[in-house]
Amino acid sequence: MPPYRPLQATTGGSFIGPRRAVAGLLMAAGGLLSLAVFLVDTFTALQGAVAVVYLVVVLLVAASGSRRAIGGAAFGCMGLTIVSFVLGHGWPELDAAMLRCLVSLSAIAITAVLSLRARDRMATIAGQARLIELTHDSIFVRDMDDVIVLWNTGAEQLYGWTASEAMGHRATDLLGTALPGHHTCVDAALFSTGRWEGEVSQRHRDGRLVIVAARCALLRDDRGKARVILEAGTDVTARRAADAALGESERRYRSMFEKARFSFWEEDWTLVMARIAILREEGVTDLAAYLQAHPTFVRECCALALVTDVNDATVRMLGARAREDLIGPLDRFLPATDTTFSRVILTIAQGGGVAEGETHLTNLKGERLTVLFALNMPLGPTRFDRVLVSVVDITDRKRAERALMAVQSELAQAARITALGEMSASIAHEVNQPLAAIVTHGEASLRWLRRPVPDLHEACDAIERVVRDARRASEVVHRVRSLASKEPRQHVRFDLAALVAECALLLEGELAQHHIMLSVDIAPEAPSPRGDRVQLQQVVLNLMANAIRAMSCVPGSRTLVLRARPDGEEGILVEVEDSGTGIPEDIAVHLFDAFVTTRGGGMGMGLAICRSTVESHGGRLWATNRPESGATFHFTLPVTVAEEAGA
Amino acid sequence: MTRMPPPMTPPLAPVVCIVDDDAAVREALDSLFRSVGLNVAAFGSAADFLARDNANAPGCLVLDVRLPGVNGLDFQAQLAAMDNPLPIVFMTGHGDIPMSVRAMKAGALDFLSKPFRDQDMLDAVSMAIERDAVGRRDADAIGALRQAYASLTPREREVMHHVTAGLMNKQVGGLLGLSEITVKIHRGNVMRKMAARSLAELVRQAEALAAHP
Repeated sequence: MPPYRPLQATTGGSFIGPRRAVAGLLMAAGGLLSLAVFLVDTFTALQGAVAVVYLVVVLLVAASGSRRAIGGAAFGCMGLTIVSFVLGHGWPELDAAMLRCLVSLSAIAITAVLSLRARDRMATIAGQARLIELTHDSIFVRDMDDVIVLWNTGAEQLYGWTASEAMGHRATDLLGTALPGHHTCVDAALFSTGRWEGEVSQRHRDGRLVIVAARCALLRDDRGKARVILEAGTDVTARRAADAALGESERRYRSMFEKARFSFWEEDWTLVMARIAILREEGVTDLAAYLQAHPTFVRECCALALVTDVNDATVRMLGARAREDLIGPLDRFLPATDTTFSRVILTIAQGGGVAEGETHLTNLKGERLTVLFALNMPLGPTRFDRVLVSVVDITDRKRAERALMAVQSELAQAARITALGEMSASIAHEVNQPLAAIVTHGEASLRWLRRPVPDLHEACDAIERVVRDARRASEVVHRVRSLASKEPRQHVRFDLAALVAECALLLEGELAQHHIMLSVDIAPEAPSPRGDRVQLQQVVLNLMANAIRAMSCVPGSRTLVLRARPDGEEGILVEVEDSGTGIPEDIAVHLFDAFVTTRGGGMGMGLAICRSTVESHGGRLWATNRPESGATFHFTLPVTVAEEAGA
Repeated sequence: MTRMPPPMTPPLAPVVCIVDDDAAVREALDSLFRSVGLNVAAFGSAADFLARDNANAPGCLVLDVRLPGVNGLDFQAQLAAMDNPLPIVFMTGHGDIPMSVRAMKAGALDFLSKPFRDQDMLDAVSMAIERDAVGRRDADAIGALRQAYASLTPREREVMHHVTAGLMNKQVGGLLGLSEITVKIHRGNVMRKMAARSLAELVRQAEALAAHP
């Protein structure tokens, strides 16, 4: 295959040293030959165009590839030809010898010109070959018998075989090429379109498989006969491995998502964030305050958060038949009373990326679930299209906790009643003994006096004992009172907001059960109260529980407001306001008396104890009915000194 | 068989025993009972009462339900087990019905809650003393009968048994292998020793003995 020989030569002769030596050798040979021709031409009387042999010199020198050398050799040879002619034939005249000389000269010139052109073409091809060398892609050429005829550095790097090792071998044997699909399909494509592209796995010299993105081209000669196939390839092994790892990772994620016992949701928050962006453009800077003030906006956002996928656990949890039932806006599951969503919006809008908390969900059967959720953004805090939410249903746990709390509180109540009963029994006994003695002494003294002969001495004795025992009874009463007021109490300053938060937590179940919105409004300038935190918490808890009870049967929206304001110079006023039934007229007067109750199960001690607690702290507790509906309980606490007002 | 003193002993004056751990109540009752001329002995505890002198004196017991160491009702049961015949009037600081029912079923005479009316207490006590006196008289009569019965010979007891069962002398003789005359002599001895003036009285005595063996 002549067109490819030079390529081979170039690839083979990439070393500078040998090439120079060959060129020098060629020059020397050319020089010697030209000298020999000159001597023969000049000093022998050969009647022929000996000078034509100079062509060989030019060709020899041309093989060295130097433009100047070719030129020099041509002109040199032509000069020598002319010198030989002049020496042999004298001054030229137009004869046969002259004609031969001219023929030789023109032959040398033509050869030189042709050599120069051939050399230029070679240089171009060599340049192209160098480009092939320079590229990082593997390029090799195989002939129609699959024998490798060209092998570049990229191929050496890709397959580990050097050019000399590779060339002459069948490509299929060397590389163990495995093609996608059948061999014939590839051949068919190659022969019909002249091109084929695809991925092949081939074998490296050390035995490992390399995946190569290959582009094959069929080269034909001038007559259209298929001559060679050029194959350029890029190593995509690492990329494929990364793709495979990514795919594997995605599969694992999917499998976890699908099969997890926890509920997983994928949500798209793009619309929510777009809405927030609009809000910001409109000039809203304090998003937290805005969300607080605009619950309808929060609700709107909730409808814009789209559930895009859920797993089987979620389908079960929400009582759906299939996951398709659950795809769509989130607000179908989040009850309107929810307070966590605005916090989550805020977290995500601030680039937090992670949010968690406890909230309620309404499932498709209308049941209310208590859940823990954790929201994160696996694609980064700015990718809102894939928000992953994991949810744990803790309804049963909460229910058990609530039941436990109810039992505990009932137990405490029972214990209180029992203690009260025991205490009253023991007080009754303590008081009754002297009373019995007093009565009997009195009666006995009367009998002594009414005897036929009155016994004044005995009568006086008896009356003295009446006095003594009456004193004793009075002491018992006094002792009981001081016992009751001696209960140790701690006076500390405490944070009302934290206390209210604890109460809200304790009453969370009841609030949710009766769909009551709790609004806590503690003025920042309200001073921190001071007193027995446990007792005062009982007061707040009691008032809140009463408010919940008062609202449990009223229709419409139910709101429990806990408000705190400064009261006078050094005091705090706390109000617990409900939208319930209000205080009935007949109860109002005796509201704070012991044993007054509107509840079947109540002892009627709550408000009485509340009032005595507040009063023992130096404050007041009273109640008013609201004009609209419901009642407000107010109590004040002096913030500085409370001790001297103790009972 | 002889547990009681001979019926000839002159009857002792009844004593009202008070058991209450509260000194004031004790004193008050003491004064009240003395004002109507009763003899009184007051004790602070059940143990003091059991250790008293003159334990056989007639009278009654005024007992507080709540006592140090022992519950009044348990003490009542304890006394019954000891065959102590003293009638009991209970007092309680907080008269509860189940407790009074229990006490009455166990033979208490009355159950008064403090503070009680003096007349109620005095009525209860005098009734108790009366009951004690009757009880003691009955017990004395049975004792005398038992003594008389004990003086009979075995043969006389046999004869008494058959005669009070309604058999004729001849039948008794046939049963025991005795002559009618001999039966008559035994029967005469029985009537004399038992101080029975008629066969009807002897039959009543036999019934009383059977009722209080």
